[in-house]
Amino acid sequence: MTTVAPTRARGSEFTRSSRAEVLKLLSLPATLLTAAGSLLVSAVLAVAFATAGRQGSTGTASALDIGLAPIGYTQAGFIILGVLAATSEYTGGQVQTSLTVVPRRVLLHLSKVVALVLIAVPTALVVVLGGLVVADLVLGDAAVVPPFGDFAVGVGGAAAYLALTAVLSSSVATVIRRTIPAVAGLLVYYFIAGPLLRDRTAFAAYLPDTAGYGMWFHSGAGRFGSLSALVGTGFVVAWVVLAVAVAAVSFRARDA
Amino acid sequence: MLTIDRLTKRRGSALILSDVTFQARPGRVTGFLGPNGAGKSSTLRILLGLDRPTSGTALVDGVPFERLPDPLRTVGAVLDGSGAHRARTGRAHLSWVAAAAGIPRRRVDEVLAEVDLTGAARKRVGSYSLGMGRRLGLAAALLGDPAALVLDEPVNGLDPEGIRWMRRFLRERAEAGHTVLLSSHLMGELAEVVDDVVIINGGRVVEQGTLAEVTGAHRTLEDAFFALTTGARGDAR
Repeated sequence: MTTVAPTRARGSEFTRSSRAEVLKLLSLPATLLTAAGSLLVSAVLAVAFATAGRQGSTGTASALDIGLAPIGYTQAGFIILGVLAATSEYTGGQVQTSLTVVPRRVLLHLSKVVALVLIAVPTALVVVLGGLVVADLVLGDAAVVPPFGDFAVGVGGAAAYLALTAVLSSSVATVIRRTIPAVAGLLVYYFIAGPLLRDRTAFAAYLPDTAGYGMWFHSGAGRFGSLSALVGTGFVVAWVVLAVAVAAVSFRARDA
Repeated sequence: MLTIDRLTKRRGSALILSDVTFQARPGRVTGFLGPNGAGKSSTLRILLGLDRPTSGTALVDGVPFERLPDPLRTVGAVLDGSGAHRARTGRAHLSWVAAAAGIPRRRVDEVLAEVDLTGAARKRVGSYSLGMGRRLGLAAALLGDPAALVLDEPVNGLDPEGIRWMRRFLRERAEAGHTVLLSSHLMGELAEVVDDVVIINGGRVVEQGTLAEVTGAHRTLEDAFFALTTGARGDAR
């Protein structure tokens, strides 16, 4: 063996790896399809909810409440986004390439989380704002426009919830490694088990889906569980940190 | 220098590797030969930090792979398949690998030309033939112009012209002073290329030495291989 290049600073290695992970996500057609699909579903649902709102059947004409209502469904898109970000490594033996370029596994795992956040946050903002704009257009004169403070908290909370849900989903998928079981398991939890537990048990208020309601469901804190938006956010963040840590330990310990 | 020292790997109750020890030296092509399931890929995966050994060490210039300061410039590796996601283009695959290693983008075009994939660079990896996928894997391995190459079954899936190209390429790398370690179950394809031979069977190294030493009294390397891997083993070392 001839020469070995001098050691680089760990910080720059992390930056390079994160940049590579962003390139990976952006060059995967499924990422763009999932993002576009989420935006489309959000817009279609906003039309449906706003039409119902105009006819008075939702009991509110708040552009904010109606525009954010699709989040309960569009979160499926962010679950899929997170899962694909993790499981696409296991297509075509790509993980072998990843680990021979960035063999420090915890660093690689954390740079994947950073890349997913960098992609998921702007996607979530577009999806959330898309729903609000559509709802406002459909409601027209009937729209009750919220104060700017409520608007900013609603949009920020919803976008943060969606991005955090993507990271949580990618952590689960990192442990499961296969797309279909990971997506199926998460959808069953978020759309069947979660809602069932919510109505029947007190501890459900601390689970990531119900705790997250306070982040985006504008008048939700009173309806679901007892957590305020801030405490709910804290619980979701805690679940995400735990999931990322468990996934990192699993990724580090197992054969690739 | 690649140093495999007393490597043992268990998976559940199965013993995959037992006390595997050998070296691959600079300036030489080392052929790591054995039948399918003998433990060749497992050994290379441990060397590259992909799998963990139960005991023993695998070092690159005296350092475990995951502690190399600049892995892509030190070891280029091609394992089974292309190592690329099928939905991405060949160029997009090489671009993220280059970005992760801090290698300039122009190297992507250089390695694409080197493995003759320039024309297919903008096609999705899923549309590549087996041989094209292997060449894409090799292109990624060459991005950092590494001092050592580790190749798992490098001639698998290549057409006769591709096999000739690969032989010449591997000889040139070794003659330029680089380390080349390749695994294969195809003896005939490799006898002309390798300087040193390590034969593994059932997770144990049954013979190693220069090509002449291992061929010994047998007519060809292939004859020696079958004598070592199908007959009684254990006293061969």
